[in-house]
Amino acid sequence: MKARLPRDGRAQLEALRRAYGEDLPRRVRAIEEAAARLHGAALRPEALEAAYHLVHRLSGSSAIYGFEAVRRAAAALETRLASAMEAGAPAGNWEAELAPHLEALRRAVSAPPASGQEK
Amino acid sequence: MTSRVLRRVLLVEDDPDIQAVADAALSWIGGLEVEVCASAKDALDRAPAFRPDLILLDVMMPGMDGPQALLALREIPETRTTPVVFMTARVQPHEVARYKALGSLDVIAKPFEPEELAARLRQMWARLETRAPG
Repeated sequence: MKARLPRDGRAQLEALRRAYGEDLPRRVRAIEEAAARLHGAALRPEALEAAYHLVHRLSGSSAIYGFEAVRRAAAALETRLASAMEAGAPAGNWEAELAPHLEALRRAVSAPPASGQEK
Repeated sequence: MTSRVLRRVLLVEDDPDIQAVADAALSWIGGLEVEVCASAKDALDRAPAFRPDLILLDVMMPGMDGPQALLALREIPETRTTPVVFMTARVQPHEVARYKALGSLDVIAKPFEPEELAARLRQMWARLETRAPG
């Protein structure tokens, strides 16, 4: 059952959602920068954890703010990073491994939601 | 019957984005008085003076997590019996059972619908008040 919401409260919530949506490209850039630090011969656990932390936060908050496509892309990347952490941060071609996830995230952020946000 | 009205909520959440939307949902939409804390330590410091009716507590926080914070809150006279509701994405039945065994009133699953958050807390509060003696 949907509650009857005070008009001002709903407007304030929409303003928060708009601001969050406008800030999404900055968050994705931060994730790209963190992912770039994963490339190289040895995958440092602290770099992996930093990237995971950013993606985990985006995955959680985007769902609450109603950006479902962003949530899906972030959740897929989060799962990949979590499995790398569980495996003890193995060496590998992380640039190629993460590229499709980052591309999906960029697409999700740049795709205009139907009505300002996806709810 | 319900004898007390839910008015004051201590919101404990480390993620600023979720903090902002939960605060908005509870105060602007729910009409509740909300004190926002960014960590368990912050909550332990501020809860005695704020005297919340209910504490909405994130489970996964750096440093002291939600379950640890709940135990610490129970050591403070002002919050010894204050109802605590956990917020978490981990809501498998065995996980929810564990939170309740620790003494939480209930669990709000993440992601939650901001428009419904205050109403859900009020439902939990009403259940609690209904079963309270006297």
